[in-house]
Amino acid sequence: MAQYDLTAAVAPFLDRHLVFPLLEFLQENQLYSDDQILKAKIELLAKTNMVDYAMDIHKSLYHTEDVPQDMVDRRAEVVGRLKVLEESAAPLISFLQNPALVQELRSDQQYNLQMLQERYQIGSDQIEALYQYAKFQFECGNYSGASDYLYQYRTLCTNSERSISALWGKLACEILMQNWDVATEEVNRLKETIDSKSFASPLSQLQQRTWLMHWSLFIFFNHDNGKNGIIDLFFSERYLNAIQTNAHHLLRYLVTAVIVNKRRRNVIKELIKVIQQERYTYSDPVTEFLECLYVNYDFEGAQQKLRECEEVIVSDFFLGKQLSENGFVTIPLRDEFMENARLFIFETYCRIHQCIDIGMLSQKLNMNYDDAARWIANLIRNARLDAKIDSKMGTVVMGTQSPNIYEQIIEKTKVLGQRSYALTSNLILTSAAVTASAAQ
Amino acid sequence: MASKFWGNSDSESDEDSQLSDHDEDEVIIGGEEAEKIADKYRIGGDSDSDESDDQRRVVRSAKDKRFDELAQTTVQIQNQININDWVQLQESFERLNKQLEKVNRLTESQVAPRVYIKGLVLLEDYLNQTLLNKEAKKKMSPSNAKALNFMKQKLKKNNQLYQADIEKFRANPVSDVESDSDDGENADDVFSDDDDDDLPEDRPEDLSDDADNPDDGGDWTSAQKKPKEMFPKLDPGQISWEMVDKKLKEIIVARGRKGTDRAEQVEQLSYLARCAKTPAQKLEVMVHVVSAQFDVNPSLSTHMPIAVWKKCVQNILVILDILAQYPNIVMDETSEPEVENETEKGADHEGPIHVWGNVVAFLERCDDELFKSLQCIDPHTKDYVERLRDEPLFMTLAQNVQQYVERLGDMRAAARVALRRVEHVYYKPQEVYEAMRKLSELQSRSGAAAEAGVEGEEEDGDVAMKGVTETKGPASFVVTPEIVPRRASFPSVNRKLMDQLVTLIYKAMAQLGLCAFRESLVMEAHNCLSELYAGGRVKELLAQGVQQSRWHEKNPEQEKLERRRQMPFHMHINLELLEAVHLVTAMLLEVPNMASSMHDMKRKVISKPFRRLLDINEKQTFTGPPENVRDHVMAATQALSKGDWEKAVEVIQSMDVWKLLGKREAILQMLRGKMQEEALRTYIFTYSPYFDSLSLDQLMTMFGLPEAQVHSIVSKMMIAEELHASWDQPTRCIVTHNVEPTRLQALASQFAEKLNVLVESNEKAFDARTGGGGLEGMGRRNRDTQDYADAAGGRRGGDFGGGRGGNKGGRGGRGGRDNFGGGRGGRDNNQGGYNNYNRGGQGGGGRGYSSGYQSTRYQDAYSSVGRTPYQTGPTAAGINRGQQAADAGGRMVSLSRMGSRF
Repeated sequence: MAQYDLTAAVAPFLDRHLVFPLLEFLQENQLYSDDQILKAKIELLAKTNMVDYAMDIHKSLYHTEDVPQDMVDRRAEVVGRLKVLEESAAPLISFLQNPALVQELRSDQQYNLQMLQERYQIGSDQIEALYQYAKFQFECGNYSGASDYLYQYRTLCTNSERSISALWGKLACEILMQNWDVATEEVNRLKETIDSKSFASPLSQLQQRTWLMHWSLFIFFNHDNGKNGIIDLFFSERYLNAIQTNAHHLLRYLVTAVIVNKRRRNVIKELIKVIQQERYTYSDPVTEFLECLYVNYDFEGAQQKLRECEEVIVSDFFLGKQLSENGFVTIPLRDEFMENARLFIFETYCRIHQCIDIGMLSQKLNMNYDDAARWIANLIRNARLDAKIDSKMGTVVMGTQSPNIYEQIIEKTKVLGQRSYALTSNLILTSAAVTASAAQ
Repeated sequence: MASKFWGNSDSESDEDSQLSDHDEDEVIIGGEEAEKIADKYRIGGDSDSDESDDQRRVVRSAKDKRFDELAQTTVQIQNQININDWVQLQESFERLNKQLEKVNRLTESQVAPRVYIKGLVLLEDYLNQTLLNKEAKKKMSPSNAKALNFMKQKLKKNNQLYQADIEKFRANPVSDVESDSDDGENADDVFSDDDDDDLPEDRPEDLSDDADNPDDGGDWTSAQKKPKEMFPKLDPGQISWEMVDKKLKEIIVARGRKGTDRAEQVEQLSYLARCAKTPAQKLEVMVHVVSAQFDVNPSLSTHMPIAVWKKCVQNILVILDILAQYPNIVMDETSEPEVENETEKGADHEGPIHVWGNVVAFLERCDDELFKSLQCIDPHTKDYVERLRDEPLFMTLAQNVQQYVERLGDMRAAARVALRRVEHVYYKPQEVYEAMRKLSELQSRSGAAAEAGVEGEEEDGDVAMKGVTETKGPASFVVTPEIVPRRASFPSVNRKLMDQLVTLIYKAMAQLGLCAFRESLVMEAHNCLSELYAGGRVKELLAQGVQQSRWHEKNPEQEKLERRRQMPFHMHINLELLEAVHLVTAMLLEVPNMASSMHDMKRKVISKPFRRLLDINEKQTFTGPPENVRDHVMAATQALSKGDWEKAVEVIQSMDVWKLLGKREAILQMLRGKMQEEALRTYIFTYSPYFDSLSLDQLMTMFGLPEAQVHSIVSKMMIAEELHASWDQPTRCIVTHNVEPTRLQALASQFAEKLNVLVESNEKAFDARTGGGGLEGMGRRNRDTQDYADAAGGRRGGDFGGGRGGNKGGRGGRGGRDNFGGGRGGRDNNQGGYNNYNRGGQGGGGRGYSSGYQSTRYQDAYSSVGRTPYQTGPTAAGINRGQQAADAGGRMVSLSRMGSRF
């Protein structure tokens, strides 16, 4: 399944810290050898300040107690820098930690800056230091601290570039702390900024959009309303464009979300168009499943792909999230996906068939005969299917839906009378008004 | 008759001139005029006799014409000698020289034709004779004597140039038929001109070894004489830097002046280059040589003589050599030419030396000239292939220049050069490119491998001619956006640039179409190509020839412009192939489409040109076996629409053009598959109404398709509601639901629709009267229809169309009010409103529709306008209802079309 693993494709669009969960997941799934993953982790950590963590990994990787000298040096350097930054940001932090003083801040940014400058001698240097300090905290893995500082920094920041960076930082913190609700807000805020801001180059705008989509994957597949959110975000025109130019692999998540989400069936047509357009650059079992079903009407192929999809979902970080309940480990998304996909197949199948053998159907649906019969009966009962089961022959007979010509004509002419009536009454009204005014 | 007239006028003028002195000027003018008239008459007489006598027009090449002119002038000289008219002789002599220039430009040789020499000899003899005859001289009129003196000097000078030839002629005056010998000489010229030309303006020593075959001594000396004159008493060793510099400045100052002989300038400069003292100076002179060579051909529409071009390329190579050898010499355009005698610094000088010049500009000019010459030369001659062989030479040059520029780190210039190179390469298939590169390498290595090179060249030329069409589609597509922004600064979008852009875009479209076809994307291929074929001006759009226009004559200016736009032949896309692909794709799309909408009134046409061809074909009472591309496709279409796919495949595959497409087998296989599919679809469309059920197995055997494919195709048709049927899975059958309405039902539904329209028009009338916004749901509906009317009117363009759309509403409105307000019987009301509507439909909608019909874009807009209001209505009612609604939307369309028929 390693061939369908998207970690390598997704990682470049994520922050270093966001890649860790992905690697952890891979480690659990045993897709790659432990050594490889641990090495990747160390490499990731090399540019961050989480030196202690890196040391631990190094120990477990090489089974030694020794730590290379450069790591030790780096640690000392990190600690030193932390001190310096702490000092320079100290006045502002102490101010912010005092709730009474914070009360004095108002919504007017200009006023705040002036007030800080005049009364507490806190100038732009200190504010800048706060940003640096927050960033450093983030690098060290102290996400909650970084999140707080960034939040406060944003209220004081005047530089728009910086404030975007702060937004990104905040989002990363929230994701890593798994505060999905807050993170959703952050995503919306970022989206607004990205869409409203006139970037110097469309390219950087595109890049930011792509990042946003990747980062939001964390949220969408964990948040309750995420499956609507992802469809809304990814299907908005600009983001769909971004997917098509920059990040084709995101189609997998979009397709999954669409299949799982029963209420958003109407977008399937558009989705298929996109999939077909991008087929030459990206395809995996999930997209191929839709293609088999809605482009080629190849039901055998769809079955085949569905089986592959299952594996793909299980081995994907975002899709294969496990839930343990009473000791049972379930992958909710997989079950949902399989159920809905089956329904898709069956529905399409019914649309073009008049008479279906239940035995064959049960085979296709991976059920036994009785289960299949019951399943169909349920469907019919819930009025999702206009059909009857012929148990003697062992077939399902679809209701014929041929339109009745009489009905058609009646349908067409039904409203005419009413419309004419409304017209005449209106006419009389206006003519009456006219005569009245004339009389006056 | 002509010659008589001519003779008369001449003698008259002669007499006149002898009569008196005081009106001498007038007389001479009179003489001139007379001759002009004579000339005119002569030409007229010629053509007259041509037409009347033998009714045959001999088409002669420009070369022949020029030779004839020369010959004619010689005859004139003879006549004038007979009457001892020196004034006329002087004129004839000048004309003779001018004509010689023209001839030489045409043949691109330096050797004077025999006729010319003959004229010279005649003149010289007579001159000598006259000079000897002192008495006759005395008797001459002053003007005549003046002319005689003039001639004496001129002729001497002139004849020195052709001394050798003249002697040859004297040795053998009675040559065989003159034109023959001319031709022979011409042929010689073509082959020997390299040697002839290289010699006189010999580049420095390093290249002089290939010039050691001075078989043509006379030419050598005569050409060499002039440069030598510059430093008469010195041999090259004694010339100093200052002298060269001074001379160079002199020549440069003379450049561009009237009366400066450009070719001579080149010669002088090249001689100077040989004498140059320092490398920098040599470089400087070489730069001027190259510019002078570019000046040789001043015209924009004709190309530089090929020989000169070749020399020019060699010179640029020499410049590059110098630059490579002395890296401290910097060439740029910004440095003030010769601020302080920079070029005096010797080869061992440290530090940069600035010389004015721009190699990249030279290269681009070379490329332009090459392109122009390829445009001008008739592609079916050997000359063209010869010329094509120069392309590798150019590519070598370009490569060298690019290397040089890259070494300098001037990436802008490098990009310009690279673009030029890409333009030469992008349309070539891989093999051609390989062959060319090989050749190029060979050439640049040494002349020793010349033989192998020639072989490669041969191959190259041939393959280039054949394989042009096999272009790398993606490459050309890539190239287009590349070329477009860099061609020129965009703000100054001139006509030429726009034309180029258009051509490029269409070329890219054509290539893309071919590519899509190769990848079996029929729909895409057709979309790409249909735009090209929509106007029937493919040739023009691709700049591959001028379409003869029946309706208006083009003036010469336009023609010239057009000719300049043309692509050289070897870059052409094979039109036959293009047409074949276009028609075949159109067939694959159109045949099932026609079958599906046979009984439908809203016939959607996918390819208009294809339909037209089909109509023409059907009208023929007798169709012979297919000959050209169209016939083949038409025959295949006939077969395919009958469901006989095997015959269709056979006909299509028998076409020759497929061999131009590469991977022939794969393409034919693909075509076969596509045709099977479309035949199946056509069959189902045509015959499904007559079946209750169709067996899957039978379909499989009939069309030779695997089960999965048949199933997939039929399923697709069911889902798309093209086929009202469904599968019966246990029995493997297609069960059709015969939903085709009976005649009565169809009429009833039409009637219902008309009623709908009637109500709508009433509502509209009411709205127009009361100012709109009266009824809630109706308002929206009305607005939509109003949009439609506007769209229909808008097609007709401008305010007028809009006014018309509005008018329609207004007219309908009045009608409606009359009917209602008059309070007549309901039945009459209906009647009146109905008629009224029809009139309105005829006036606005009907016209708008039929005129808009031609443009697909408009159709799109139209259908969306027509449909949206319905679809937004009752969509939830299920598939069938949805279909019904869509149908209704569509029918509304057809109704308004019918309206125009009433």
